[in-house]
Amino acid sequence: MLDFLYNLVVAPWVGMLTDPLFLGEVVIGGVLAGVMYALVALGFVLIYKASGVFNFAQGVMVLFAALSLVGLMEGVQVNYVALVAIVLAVTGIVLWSGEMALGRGIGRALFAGGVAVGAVKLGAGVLLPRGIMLGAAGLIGAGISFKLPLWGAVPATILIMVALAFVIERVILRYMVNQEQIILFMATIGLTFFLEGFGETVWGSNVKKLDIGIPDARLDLSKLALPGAAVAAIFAAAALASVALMFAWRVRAVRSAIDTSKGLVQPPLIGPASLFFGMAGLACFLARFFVAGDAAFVKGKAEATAMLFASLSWFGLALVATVALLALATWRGRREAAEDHGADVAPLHYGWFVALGVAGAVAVAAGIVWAVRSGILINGFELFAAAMAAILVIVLAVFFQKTRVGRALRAVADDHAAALSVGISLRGIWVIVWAVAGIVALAAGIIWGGKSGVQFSLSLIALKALPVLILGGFTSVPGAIIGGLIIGVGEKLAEVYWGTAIGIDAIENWFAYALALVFLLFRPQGLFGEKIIERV
Amino acid sequence: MFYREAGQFKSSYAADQAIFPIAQDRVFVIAIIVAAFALPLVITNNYWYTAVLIPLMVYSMAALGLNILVGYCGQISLGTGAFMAVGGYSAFKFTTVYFPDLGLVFIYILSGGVAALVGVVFGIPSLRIKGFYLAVATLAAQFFLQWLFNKVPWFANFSSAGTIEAPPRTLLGRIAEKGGTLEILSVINPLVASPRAPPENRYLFGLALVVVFALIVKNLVRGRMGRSWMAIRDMDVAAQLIGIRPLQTKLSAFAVSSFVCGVAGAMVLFQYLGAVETAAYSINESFLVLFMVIIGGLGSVMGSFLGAGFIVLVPIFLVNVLPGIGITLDVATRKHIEQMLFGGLMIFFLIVEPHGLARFWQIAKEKLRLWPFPH
Repeated sequence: MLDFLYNLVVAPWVGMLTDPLFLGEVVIGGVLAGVMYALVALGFVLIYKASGVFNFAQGVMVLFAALSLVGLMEGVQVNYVALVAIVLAVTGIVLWSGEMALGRGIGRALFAGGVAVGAVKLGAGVLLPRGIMLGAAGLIGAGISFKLPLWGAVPATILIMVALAFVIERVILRYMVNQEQIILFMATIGLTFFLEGFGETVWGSNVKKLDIGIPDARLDLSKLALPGAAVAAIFAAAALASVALMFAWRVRAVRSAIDTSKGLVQPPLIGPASLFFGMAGLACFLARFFVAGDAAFVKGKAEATAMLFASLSWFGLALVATVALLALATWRGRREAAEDHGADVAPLHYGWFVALGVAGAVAVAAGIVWAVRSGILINGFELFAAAMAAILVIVLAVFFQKTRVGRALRAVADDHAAALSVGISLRGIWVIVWAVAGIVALAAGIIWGGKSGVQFSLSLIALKALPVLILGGFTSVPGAIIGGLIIGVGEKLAEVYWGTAIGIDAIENWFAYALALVFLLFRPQGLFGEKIIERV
Repeated sequence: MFYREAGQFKSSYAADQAIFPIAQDRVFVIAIIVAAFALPLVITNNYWYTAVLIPLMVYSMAALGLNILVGYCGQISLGTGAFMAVGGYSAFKFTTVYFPDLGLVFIYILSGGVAALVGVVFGIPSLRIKGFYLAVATLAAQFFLQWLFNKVPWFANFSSAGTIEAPPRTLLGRIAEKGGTLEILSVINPLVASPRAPPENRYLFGLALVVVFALIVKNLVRGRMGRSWMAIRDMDVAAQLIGIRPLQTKLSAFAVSSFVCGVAGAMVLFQYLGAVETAAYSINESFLVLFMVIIGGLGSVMGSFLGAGFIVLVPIFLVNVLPGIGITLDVATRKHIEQMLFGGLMIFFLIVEPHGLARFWQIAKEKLRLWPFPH
């Protein structure tokens, strides 16, 4: 029993401290895996925000996109009849989604015709004996075959996903407006079954390899020797980023103070929080000297452990400095605000949050320098995945914040009825949002499929994304990303340290859920979800 | 014309409060139950029992249990498979290790109790978490329990394959067998579990259980407990204001629901499959049972049966109808096409009648009342 407790409570921490290089690798692996989870969760969030649909089919959309991509790259034979069916159905669905009544009628007829031709083709293929098939080869058997390279297959798959969004809106969502959420949820489960069967009927169900030209191998970073200038640059960047963060924070606080026409005040000079973090920073900084002097503790792993504490001490130093800075600013700000506004002041909370952020940035910079110098191994493919996810998130953020459509999307997410009343087409928005979710699914499909092959189990990553989702909140894009990181890192740490210490395996099946549950107990709407306000 | 309650006067409170106050309902339900019990006289084909009737009973039971939680108390749960697994595994441990002499009836009650306890534990988050957040949180129960039963060999009696098998057990146990103290009861003590038991027995026992539990549930939801569940479902803050305690109400819904689901899980092992692995209680089961509840009708005992019938029968229908009209496909393609049709049907039914099959039943009664007139 005591052994068990030791393994549960003490051993994992000892394991982390004795080999910080390995810990760094585990954490980085977790971050990269988390980014991949976040990518799937992102699709959920987009659809939930815009239409209130809890889209369980997101996972199978990932599978479908990956299947289509691989199918197009491996080469397709499109029969003329099938081609006619596809063209009919696609034109039909586009017309059907338009605003003109006549066009909608024609479009609906075309779509039905296309589906009917497709069904007849499928039926003829399996029904008619081979002899007749061969006899009518001129009509039924002939077709064109083509093969697309990666750069051609990706846009083609995007087109497929957009068409899918049109079909889903036309055939399912339109009829389910105003239904209860659980009914819509069930409909997406039905969609899951359908798409799974459809994708595997069209593209086949064998495991496929998706090769996008990025080797799934570990990079040894110690080969790129870091010159002093680069180190300085990293630290400068961290400092710059943290100053920008502080500035942004100030601006936001001032703006909100102006909005509410109140004076601005930061937390008290020596508040419990700043005191705590200042002390913690000091402790971190001082710990370095104690530990470096304790030979028994650092034996064997002297250098690595010292490195860990070195970065920890940078963190501590930065923390102390920021807390001091903030305290100074507070002192002055308080006096000015009190002079201008008297007692009518809005407190600026979470000043220590900024302090933590600044110190964190410096610590991360120190960590990077240390990691590169001591030769950490990073999986190149995962690095590529993270970069791709980051680009996608930035593009999405710009799309949401800076474009006309993005503004309409945010309006719909905020209030359906109000958006409708200012002339935003709800149906159009749904198509767009499902199409965007389809594209995000394609990105996730490329990454996951490239890592573990394109097969049925790809659709199960929806279950991986669910805890990320409840952790971050259903309605928050940053929540999806931060939730993904927390789950990714937590899962890897638990698997590597607690899993081996207690001697159980495969806890990654449920650990993410348990972790998310713990967070939920404190914030029932997730970390960044909209606050649930209940009225009777 | 056929379904008209005019002229049926109640002269006592008991008659007024009856489960089926309308004579036609009463006759119909009794006729269905009698017909169900008489089925073994007609059907001798084993395929019917093992592929249709017994799964129908098992899933009706599970849907009944989940309907209490989702339909009556409004707490969405995706952990049904896990609660069924608790029932199945505890029944297995009870019969093989702790109470080998006990009859299956008692075993089921005990394992239902264990499932209820586990259900209460995993229901605690529902006090703070609501809606889909809760649904996803119940997945924690699903994955954790499945993993637990899979990884801890104690649960499967250290069997190397991890499979648990139903030992042959009678209805009332050793006590009523030959040589027991209550030997006189041996007439009504047939072998009802394990693959060795005749399928009619397994079916009849399952049917009896389902009927009894349906009665109990029907009465529970008519009573004080059911009313407080429904108040919580409709608006929990308002319910709290009129003096309904959310803690007790939500947890009791979890307990009763898990009890019934636990019995259903034990039935999967003892009546239906005979030998199972944890995969038999996977998340797919959870989704299927939830879908039964929704397609049958949320908050309707009748709906649980209709939904279970739909989900059990449609795949069988699809399996048989495609070869029936002359289409022969290879196994993989057939599976995919069945999957497409199943998904399509699910969406179709949700679009046509989002309130479930029970609502169809309601409309049919309405039409019968007016027939032959349209209004």
